[in-house]
Amino acid sequence: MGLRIMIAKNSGFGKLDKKKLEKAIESSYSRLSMSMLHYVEDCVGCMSCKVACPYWYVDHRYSPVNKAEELRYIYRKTTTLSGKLLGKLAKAKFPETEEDIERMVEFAYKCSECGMCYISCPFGIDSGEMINVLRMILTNLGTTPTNLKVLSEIEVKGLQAKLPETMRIWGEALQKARAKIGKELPLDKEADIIVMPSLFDAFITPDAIANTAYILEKAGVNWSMPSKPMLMKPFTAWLLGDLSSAALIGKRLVEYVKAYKGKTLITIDGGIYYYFMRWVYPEVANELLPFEVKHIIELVYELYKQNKLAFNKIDDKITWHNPCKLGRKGGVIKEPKTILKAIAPNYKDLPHHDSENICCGGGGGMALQTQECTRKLEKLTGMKIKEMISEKEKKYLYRQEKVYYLALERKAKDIDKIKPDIVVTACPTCVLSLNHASLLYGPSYKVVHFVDIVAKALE
Amino acid sequence: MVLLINGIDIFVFALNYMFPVALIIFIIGSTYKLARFAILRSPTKTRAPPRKKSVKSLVKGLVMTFLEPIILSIKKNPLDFIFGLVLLHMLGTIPMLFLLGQHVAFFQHYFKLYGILWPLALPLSPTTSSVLTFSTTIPTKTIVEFTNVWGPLNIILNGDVLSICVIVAIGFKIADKLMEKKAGVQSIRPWDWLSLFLLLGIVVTGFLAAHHYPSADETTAQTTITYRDIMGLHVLLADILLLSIPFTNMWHITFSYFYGKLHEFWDMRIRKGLE
Repeated sequence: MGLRIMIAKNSGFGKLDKKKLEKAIESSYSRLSMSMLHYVEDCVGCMSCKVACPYWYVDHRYSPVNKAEELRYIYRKTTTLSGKLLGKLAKAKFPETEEDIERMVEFAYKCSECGMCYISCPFGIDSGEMINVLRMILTNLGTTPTNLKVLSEIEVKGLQAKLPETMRIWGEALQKARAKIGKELPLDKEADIIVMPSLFDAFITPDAIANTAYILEKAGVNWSMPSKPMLMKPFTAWLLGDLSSAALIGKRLVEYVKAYKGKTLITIDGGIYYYFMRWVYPEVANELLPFEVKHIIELVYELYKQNKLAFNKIDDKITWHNPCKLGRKGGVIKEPKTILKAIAPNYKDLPHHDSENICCGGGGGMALQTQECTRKLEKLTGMKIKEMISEKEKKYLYRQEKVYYLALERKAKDIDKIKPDIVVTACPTCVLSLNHASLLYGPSYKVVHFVDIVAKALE
Repeated sequence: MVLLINGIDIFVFALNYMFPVALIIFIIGSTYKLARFAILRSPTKTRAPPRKKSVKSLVKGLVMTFLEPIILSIKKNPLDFIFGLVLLHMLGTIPMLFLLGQHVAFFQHYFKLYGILWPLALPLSPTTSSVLTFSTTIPTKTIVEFTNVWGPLNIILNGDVLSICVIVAIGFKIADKLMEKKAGVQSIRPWDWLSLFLLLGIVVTGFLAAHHYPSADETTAQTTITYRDIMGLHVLLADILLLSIPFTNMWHITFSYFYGKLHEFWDMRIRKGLE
């Protein structure tokens, strides 16, 4: 019931409340650092970033520089002398109308925060980071896409461990894992390695938990995992720029790992989850972690290098799609390729790979704002989410979904150039998007999680 | 020759009066910009430990940090690479600003050590053999032997050709911006135009002055715009560009390019270990 009351407030989507807006802008200054000031003030407008963005290919207004300009308007107004003195002449202004808010939300949610614009900018400007600040302002203003808001609130309140349907999915995933390793799972036990899957892992990549367990058992690792899902769609709050909620959720994980004396926290999801816990959590929680955070790929790599894992060869032609927040933004580049090359003699890099890997187009909450996702969320939560979406948001969602599906084509074409049998990845959102890309644009390939292919090579 | 006030012509005004003022504004403006950066304390007190990387990997990372945008530009946006980077920056502005003989002489006047660049100095045109401090001769029509290190490359590396490179590149940039604006892009700012047109003005007046156009004849002073006026306008526009650096996108010449890429190197390559 509490959840329904909270969501009912989402009728404020796209509404302008000037007092709220001022407060939202004020609170965003907590993100104003030396580098952020550089991002805001030092763009020369060369537009080198445009070709890096998956959404620019759909609409030229979605170039990173153009989207980030929404934040620059606001910050120029308050942080620069010219903005204060000249106002609109210096391109400095606050949103004044609901149309301004609608444009802000449209631009803020056409970003997967893939980091490609960051490295392609001749001046090292991270437009994705700026767009996250823009989302922070919008969230504090009360303008958050409903699906993302539901996912975030479920996780903040820990409801994924209480809802009947989510627990059924979780239970099935654990049952699969038990069957795979042929014994009881080490649940809620002290161990060096704590694997922390999310409900999203169990839902989108149902074999990933089982195969992770299988790999760890094969390598003889001392590991355990929680008996209940501690995360829904991990750290959606961070996607919304809601850092305090994200830190709160992260804190729960930290407490859990500490309670079970874990030395390493392992994520199966290579999306925001890994990136947030590995790189962002210490910053937003102002706390150094007393354990390491690794993606399962990094652990498999270490075990392989220690000769604790030996692979059978797989004949399929496989390729690797590195999730942006694991690879380009997270720094895990060589590990997955080393393993996949050891497994598959027919391994082939995508035309765009490593730091230049093309984003699947689904990150940053893009893949989660479709009607299909709304239907699945309704089933998962038992809530009537469609009824919670205002007419204004419906218009936004119509365009949002269209842009998302169109943006997938670029990735589909990149994959189609090498025509693989299997595309391996390591992020549930990438799995979703790559499947959508295959369905919509034709290249016929199977998308599997990294642990699925490794487990197969260990059988 | 066009006189301003009290017998001061535009050349004297630009060089003796405006230049020191522009330099002072540039210094004050730059100090203000840098001070804003320095006093802004990072809200981040704690950071995740960086990945362990070899020195070799970090050196490669540093190089790649600067190279990656260029590689991506070649692959994804070749027109912008040719016009924006090659013609505007690599062939045009940078060698012309720092190596044109006249500029070497100018900088050497204020900073003696700059004179070590004379062997690299570029002539005004492919038909001017000597690298002159103040051009008193109109370029001839005969290609002659050059005395700098560039040898036959002087066919390209000379004021005339490089000026044309910059003019063509600015033309492309203006057209590109107009097209983006038509497509609904909101991130085209007034100072983008200011910088482009200022640079265009500097190069065009420099080109005209080098060719003594419209007139080199000082005897027709007060009735004709002479070489000296055009040169004065050239210096005046350069003064305006200099003073605008801290307040426009020209800030990338002195600070933001280096800060931005070095920050990215630290963030992406040193901390996160991107290879």
